Amino acid sequence: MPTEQTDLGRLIADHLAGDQDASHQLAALVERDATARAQVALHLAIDRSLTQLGAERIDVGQIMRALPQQRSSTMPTRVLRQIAQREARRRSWKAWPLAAAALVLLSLLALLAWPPSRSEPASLAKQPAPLTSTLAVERAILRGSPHAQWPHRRMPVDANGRVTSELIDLRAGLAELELPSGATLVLQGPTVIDLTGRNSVRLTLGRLTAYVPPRAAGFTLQAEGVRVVDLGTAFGIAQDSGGIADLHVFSGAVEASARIDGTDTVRRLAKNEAIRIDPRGGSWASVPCDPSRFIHGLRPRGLSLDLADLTAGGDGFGAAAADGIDPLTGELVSGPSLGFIEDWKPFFHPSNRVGSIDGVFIPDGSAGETVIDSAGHRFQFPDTVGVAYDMIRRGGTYDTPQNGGRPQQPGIPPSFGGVDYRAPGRSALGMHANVGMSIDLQDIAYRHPGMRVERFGAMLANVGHKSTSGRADFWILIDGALIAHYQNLTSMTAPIVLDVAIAAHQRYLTLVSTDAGNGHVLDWITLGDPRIHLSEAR
Amino acid sequence: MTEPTFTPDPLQARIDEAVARVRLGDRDAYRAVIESCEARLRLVVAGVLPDASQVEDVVQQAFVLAYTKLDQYQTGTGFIAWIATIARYEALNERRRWLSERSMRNRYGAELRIEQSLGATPEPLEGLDHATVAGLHACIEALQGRAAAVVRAHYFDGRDNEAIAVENGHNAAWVRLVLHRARTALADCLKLKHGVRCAD
Repeated sequence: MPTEQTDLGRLIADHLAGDQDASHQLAALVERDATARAQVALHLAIDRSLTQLGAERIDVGQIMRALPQQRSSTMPTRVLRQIAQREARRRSWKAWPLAAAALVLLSLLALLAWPPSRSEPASLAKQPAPLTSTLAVERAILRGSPHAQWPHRRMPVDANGRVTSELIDLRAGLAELELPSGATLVLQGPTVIDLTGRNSVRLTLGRLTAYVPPRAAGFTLQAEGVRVVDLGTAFGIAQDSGGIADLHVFSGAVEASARIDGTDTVRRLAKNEAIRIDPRGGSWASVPCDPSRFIHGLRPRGLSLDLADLTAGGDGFGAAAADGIDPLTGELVSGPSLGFIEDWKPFFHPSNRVGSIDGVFIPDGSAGETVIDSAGHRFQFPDTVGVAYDMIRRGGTYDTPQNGGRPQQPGIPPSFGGVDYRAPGRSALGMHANVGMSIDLQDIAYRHPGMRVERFGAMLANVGHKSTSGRADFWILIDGALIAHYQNLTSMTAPIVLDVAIAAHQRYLTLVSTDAGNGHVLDWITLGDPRIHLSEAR
Repeated sequence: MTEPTFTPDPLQARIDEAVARVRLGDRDAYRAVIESCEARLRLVVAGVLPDASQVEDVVQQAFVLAYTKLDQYQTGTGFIAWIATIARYEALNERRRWLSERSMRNRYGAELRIEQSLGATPEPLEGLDHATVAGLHACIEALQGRAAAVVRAHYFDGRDNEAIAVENGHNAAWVRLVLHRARTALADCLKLKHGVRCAD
């Protein structure tokens, strides 16, 4: 709207002129409004380029990524961890002179008490080795970290690959660490851990997979409010910045202890068992074990990201906290069915870029071409009723209570072609007509250094009640160009395999469901196992 | 007539309260400070360092640095502005380091070449992105006379907005507006918009 545009323009101009109040207002606006963020990034890019007279290539996308976004930030956890480390270091430095003085005094006393001897005094032989050499011997080894991003671009290792810091802060990418005990950890950035001993670590946040050989049995992992002791196993654990931890056991067994309902509780988990622990809420619950949520090797031939999880604000590995994305606002939402959603004009609504979703829209050709992504690509869809039903929802579309919908359940189960997509390791995405969603493939590649997006794959079905009355269309576009159009899908239509190859230069993948011109009743378009496949970039 | 009352900014008050708790030894109270200031610091630092990973590093460093200097902050004087200044200096330092490394690679630095170019007719310089430089100057040439003059005065001559305003018989707000419109026109000219409608 003109007024909002003018206000935004004024705020940007004042911010760049050094006005503190404007900066404050703009920061809050940019955090919650993706459109404003794009405009600010553009002006910052031009300002930078003018200031430096073109010293660098202008990359608006880089600035967009750097600007504040409304999502759970790992910054507070990282900062507090770094402060704690600094303070611990300061304390230990303060203690050194005292320890050294005590050592000298003890040595003198020992010399006075015993006559000189050729053999080394027993008391001195038992002295611990100097701290530096102990650390050098006990240090973990970084076995590899292809394309990993580290703070200040510095790997925390020496020339021999030995880790030089107790704090391992992996910003992005993968890293494999071998502890002195032989336990091996595959970290998936962003992850922060502390090496607390030769066979123990503390997980501050992030995701890792642990492989513990028999000689390292007893490996201990401490996370917020939970302690995991290995009993000879392979397991994965992910802890978000809100403290929620998911623990999945792939083989062997672990013992997890946490304070649940005010009581210290221990639970043994065997192969294929998993729990979700909420240490701040003091509760835990069993969840399906899902190995696909973790990376199991340093050089995965490929990654497979769950688009349903990305759509709901996750990282593609099951970290989503929301239920889906509102096609009218592009915001993450949770809760019961949103019911009918009508857009007075089919605008493109940029998302808050959580999970690499570029934006959403409600397609309707009667209003002319629809803008389908933030590059401004347009497409002429056929006329529709211009109404969506429910959010684009992880797990499948929900019905409203008026239509018999029940909480926490899709209106029609996402089960087709003999596969129940609610099963562990599977996923579903409800895209009841009429909705469209664009995914920023380059943003996905940016978040997975060394990888490139190779394919999009899913099973497509209209899961509406068994009849031919509900007909829907499904469209796939890349950078505004139509790749596939499936027409008149009914619940009687056999599921369709979607497999779309994606070139490295392509940026926006757009998925759209429309009502095929007969209204959108029973147009329950659902994607089963929608996955973005990445392969190693060459 | 009643005295005008001073209404403290509730956010600032919350931050000051958290800072007070930190000073009493409650380190976790600093989390609230970080959550309140992160967006602002990202905006400030992204204006200096556009690389997302560098912004992350510098903002984190600024928070840690501010924590160590908390005794220098005077309660009630505006914590966000105080920490934003720290972040800006950290970003400028990082930028200087980056330019210095680059200058080592290129034998002499981009910063030096920029400085050399400021007094003269800007020419594409060795080590710079020639396409960007050429495109930028072509687009500045295409600006209307007064806008181009204001852009040159502000960015190339380093003159402040007040002085430019006086010369042109306007106020500083006018200069901000002209600069803003010029940047919008330059974004158009450089085809940077990615479908984004510019605020004007």
